Amino acid sequence: MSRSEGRAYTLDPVTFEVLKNAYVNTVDQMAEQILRTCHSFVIYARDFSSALCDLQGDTIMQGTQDIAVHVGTLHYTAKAVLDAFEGDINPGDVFAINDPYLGGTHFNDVRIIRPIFVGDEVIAYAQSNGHWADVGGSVPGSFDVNAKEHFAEGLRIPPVRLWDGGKYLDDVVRMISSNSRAPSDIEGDLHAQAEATRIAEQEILRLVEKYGKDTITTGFTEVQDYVERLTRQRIAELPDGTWETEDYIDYDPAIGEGLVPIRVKMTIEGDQVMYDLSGSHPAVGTFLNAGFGSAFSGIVAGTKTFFPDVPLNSGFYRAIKVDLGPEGTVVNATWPTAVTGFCSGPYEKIMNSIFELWSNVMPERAIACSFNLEYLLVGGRDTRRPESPYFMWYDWMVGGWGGRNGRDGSNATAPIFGVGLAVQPLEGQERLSPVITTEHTIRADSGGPGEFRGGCGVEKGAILTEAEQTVMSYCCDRARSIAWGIEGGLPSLPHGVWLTRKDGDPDFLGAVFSNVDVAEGDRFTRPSAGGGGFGDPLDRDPNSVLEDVADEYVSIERALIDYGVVVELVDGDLAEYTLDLDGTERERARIRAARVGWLEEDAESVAERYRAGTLDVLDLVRHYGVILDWGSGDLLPKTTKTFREMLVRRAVPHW
Amino acid sequence: MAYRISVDTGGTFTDIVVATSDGALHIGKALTSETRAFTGIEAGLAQVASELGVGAREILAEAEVLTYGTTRATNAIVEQKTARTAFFTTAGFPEILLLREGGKPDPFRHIPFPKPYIPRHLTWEIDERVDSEGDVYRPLDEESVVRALDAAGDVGCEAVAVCLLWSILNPMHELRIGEIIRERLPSTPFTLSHELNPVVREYRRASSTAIDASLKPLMQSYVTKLEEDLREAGFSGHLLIATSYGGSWRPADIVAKPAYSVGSGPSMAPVAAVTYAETDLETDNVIVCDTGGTTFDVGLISGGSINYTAETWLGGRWVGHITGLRSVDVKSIGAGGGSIAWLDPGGLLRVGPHSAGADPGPAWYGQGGTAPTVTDAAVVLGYLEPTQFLGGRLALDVNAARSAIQTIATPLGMSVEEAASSALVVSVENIVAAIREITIAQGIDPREVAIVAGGGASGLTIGQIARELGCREVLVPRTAGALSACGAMYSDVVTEFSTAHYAETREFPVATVNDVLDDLGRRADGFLADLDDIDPPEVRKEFSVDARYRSQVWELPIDLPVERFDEQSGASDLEQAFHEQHERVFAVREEGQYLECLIWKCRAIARLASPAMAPIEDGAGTAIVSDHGEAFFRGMDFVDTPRYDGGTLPQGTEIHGPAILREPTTTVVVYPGSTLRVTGFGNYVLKIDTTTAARTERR
Repeated sequence: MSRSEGRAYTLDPVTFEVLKNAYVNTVDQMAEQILRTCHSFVIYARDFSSALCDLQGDTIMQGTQDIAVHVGTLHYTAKAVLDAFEGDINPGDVFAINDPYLGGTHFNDVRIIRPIFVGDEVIAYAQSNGHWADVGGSVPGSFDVNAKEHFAEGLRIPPVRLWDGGKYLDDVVRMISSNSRAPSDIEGDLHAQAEATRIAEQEILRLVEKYGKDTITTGFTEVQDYVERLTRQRIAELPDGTWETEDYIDYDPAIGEGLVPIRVKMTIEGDQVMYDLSGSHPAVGTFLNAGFGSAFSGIVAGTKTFFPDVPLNSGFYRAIKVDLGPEGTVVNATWPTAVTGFCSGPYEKIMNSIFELWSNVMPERAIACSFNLEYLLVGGRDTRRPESPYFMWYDWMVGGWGGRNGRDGSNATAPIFGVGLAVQPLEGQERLSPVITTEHTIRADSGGPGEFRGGCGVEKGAILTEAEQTVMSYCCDRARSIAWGIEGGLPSLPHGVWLTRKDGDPDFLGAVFSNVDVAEGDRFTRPSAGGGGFGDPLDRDPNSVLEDVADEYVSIERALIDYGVVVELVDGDLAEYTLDLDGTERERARIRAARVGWLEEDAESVAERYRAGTLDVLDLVRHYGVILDWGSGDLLPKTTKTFREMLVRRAVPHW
Repeated sequence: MAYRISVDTGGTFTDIVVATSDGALHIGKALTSETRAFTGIEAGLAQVASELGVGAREILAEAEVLTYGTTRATNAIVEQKTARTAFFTTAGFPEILLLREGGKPDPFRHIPFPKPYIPRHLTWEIDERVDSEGDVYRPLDEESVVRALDAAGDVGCEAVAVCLLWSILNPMHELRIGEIIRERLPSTPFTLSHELNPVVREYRRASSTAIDASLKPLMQSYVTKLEEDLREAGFSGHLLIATSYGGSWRPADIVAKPAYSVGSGPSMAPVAAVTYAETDLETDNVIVCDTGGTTFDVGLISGGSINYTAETWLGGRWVGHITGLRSVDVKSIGAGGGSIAWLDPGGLLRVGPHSAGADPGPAWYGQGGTAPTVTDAAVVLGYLEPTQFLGGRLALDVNAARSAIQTIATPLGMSVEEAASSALVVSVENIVAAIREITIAQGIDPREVAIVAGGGASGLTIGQIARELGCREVLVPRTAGALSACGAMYSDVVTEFSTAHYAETREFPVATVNDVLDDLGRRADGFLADLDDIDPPEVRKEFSVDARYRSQVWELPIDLPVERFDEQSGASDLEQAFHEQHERVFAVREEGQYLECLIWKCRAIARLASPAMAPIEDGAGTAIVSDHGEAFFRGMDFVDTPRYDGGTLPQGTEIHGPAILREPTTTVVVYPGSTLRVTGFGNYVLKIDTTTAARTERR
């Protein structure tokens, strides 16, 4: 029995609809304000969120365009501020917090919270959360992959006051901004966010003036009840049951090679959905760990994807019950474990797992795994200017989303961590950094093969020009736990950066590293993975494969190898190709007969053929399930074993 | 007799407005022909001619200026009927039009991006590269240009769009490609990005360029044909074509930069509003509303100036195609007269964004529509009388409207009238929320401005919209039904020249910036000198710059306080102006912070002799009631409501609500507590009592 049933709504449907829209409008106005006045381009790229919270700190409404990764965490930080300052919150106060151990995400995500007073009575809190470009720590951008404790990651801000009864506390702000490599930028962002919360205050007070305080606060409660009721209704219509899956982080350097499991069990019972992550691995020796807030966020955002028209607030969270299991795991890390990389690590694994679980419940919305969030940071001194200013080239890519039931995955789209994330104009980047982008293009063959192909990723290459004291760091994952297919679909390709030193050979740096020295003339390039495929690629319509070849999404060679489709070139300039249907039938029969055997071939001999150049990385990943250190060609036996088991689970039963 | 003519060719109708020398406006409406603009003009003109008792040819022969606006370009893009266009871009970056700038509305819905404006197989990579300092990083490989041109020719490309990285800082390579195109494919039109739209951010520039090139063959023949037809029909005056910039250009200019005709129709509504506000309102801060069947367009005028934007998207923000050009800021809300009321699964009453369109249309059209629309609600409430509509030519169906509304009334447990009234409340609230968002984002408090309302259905709810916004005055022009065409009537010749030149206001390079401004000024002077034969009564230049605080992400356009900077005061006045503008728009300023200046601009304006507004007869101020009928108002139930016919009322007439005023192209509901006054020029001003702002009552 849900909480909302039997509870009378006191607002009539028209007033209620008007107020609900007014709350949405209020948080969306906060967003517009932030977009236009922020200093950090990361915030401008839409890595921010806005919320109205009630007296308990619960979320009344969250911005409709907010980045997924902040969803389900804003009520925790509101509650943390309320706890810390209970009985001492006054008109004109403004607070800040970024503490991931109190339900925040990572240190860069700084939340500014303003109480909204009617007379001397507080009725709500406005919260603006933005990703600041740098909050200190050992590397520019505050993303130290190798951090084990948060002390290396950046400044931890517990609940603090920034304005005291309208008085700006310079000393506190100086204390914060002095711990950043970009002090004036973050102070600019702080003011932009504080102003956004003021706009929310102004809007709510306007509503209070018009409708009366009681109606507005009743609306705060009822809009949460409404969302809860709506969500529970939808869940109740679904069959009860329990589904389980697991996804992996590449490895734990404290242990050695071997995929690190994150286990998600979902149970639908009546009008409630429960998630159990208690079987997950202990926290890893990098910063790819999640605190409870960000793990909860992954669960909420993953679930929300299957209820796209339900507004987001704490009412939605009430219909979801979560057991993260014991403290100290990769999904429930505690102080002082490093957690900044949660977004590339557990977060996306939780979301993709949840997508897969819901694919069982709502097969029409089924989707395979998508590419992994990735950030490449190059920071140092820009010697193009006489004063050699500090620069930070902070780059992320779009990539491919998983193939869907009945439709190919989206090409070149922002990560599931935040699908609204912007693509940075390179003309915006280049003036500020001595990095010239040399290529930014769709990567052929990056989409995981399937009856419905995974979306394509992109390749981005660059060269460092006039710079000194420069280092490069990369926050990603899935060089080994490669984006997977479902229902017989195949994986995409490994993430990872290739560095070619001036006059040197390409060197594979992997998908997580930090503080690699780079110098003038060094080139680096990386792909973003595509999505995993949906369904057996041998069932894909040969005409769709032909179209992919004409679009340069699939090469002629891989059309043959991955799809068994024989395509012949007529005129490349005119993009004209033809199909050999008989040849296709023969090739498909051959693959069908052999492929299960490939997964059982001796892994070391497969690795040897890779080193000899007779097999390439896509052959290994898609057909042999063999994972190597892609630079040295060394076999990773434990990783390969788990990866093959994964293919046997996700692909083979559907072939 | 001298006439001035303006035309707005929409997808379905062509509106034509003829001003006689006494300033009176006469409106004709005819069906649009897609391929030949003149067909609609001729038919509309015939209507006006018979009203004036002269021949259509006579009007054309004596017209001094004909301003022509069209949705031709917009429709061609939407329907994907533009030219087969090649896209030439820097090697390594063939995906600029596909990647856009990322972003996605509605993040939890998986909607793939639509296809790029020009597909990959018509994209060619040119081997060259300029860096962010404007230096050549890789020289232009002319062979790669020749190869691309040959291949583009082979696959039948009819136009070429050229957008290279950083061409705005060093256009050498783009210019050379232009020369090669002229040599090898002399009859193929092309667009160079730095000439069309010199902005930083490659996607915007590339998108403008692609759109522009793809429109060239089409607009060239369309405009040339129009001019020929007009000349043949005896027109010897000046033909001007409306632009999205809210002004008009000579045909040759629009043929050279046809991207500026995209969205030119809606951009004229604010131009009309500026003119009406000058004569009939006391404020020059105005929200312009134009209601159609499926959308409600909103524009802003602050301090008598129209608001502009560089964010015009065709097919939706982030996911469609950006025009990238600075144009009149008109935002569309999915809330027109045909918007459908429905109940969501949580039992809430919603209105729009789905619309019944024109076919089958609202239920009361009697064409088989069954979904309850906003205008069905107005029929049920007695605001719209089907017998009066379109002069009673169509058999319209009140019962159908009632049964449509009944489908929401029953589950809501309301009477049909309550449900209809609730649907209007929700529709009004949707519009109000969107207007608030638009105005507040521009730093404008809607309580301090007036509304100018156009479009046939706007008068039904505009009084309520104004009241909810706290806006005390609404002007509904008599010509509300053809607001855009009226705007074209009052438009000037306006164009803008711009140059990208980075400068900081600390250590401000006065001499260099002055050189940039001088060059812009010279180009503007040249443009204005070319208009000599039109003999504009006034020409002027306005300088501006897109600037931002140090390291801020986005720029604000700032009018320059001077035409040239002097060494003494440097950029201090500019900084001051920026602080004030930033504070006005964003409510914060960063005192002491220096500015980064990016794009310098000069706007050249040639004011044309536009018709003076014609005053109407001064009467005793008594209103003559045409007839009476019942109308339902929230909180009052059905009340006897007098109805007036617009053309019969003398100036100064005051009508107190509840009342309904009928015009041939629009109906205005005067809600209880409001007053309608007939202005000296025959327009209508609603005075709204905002102190009793409707509180939606508890059930």
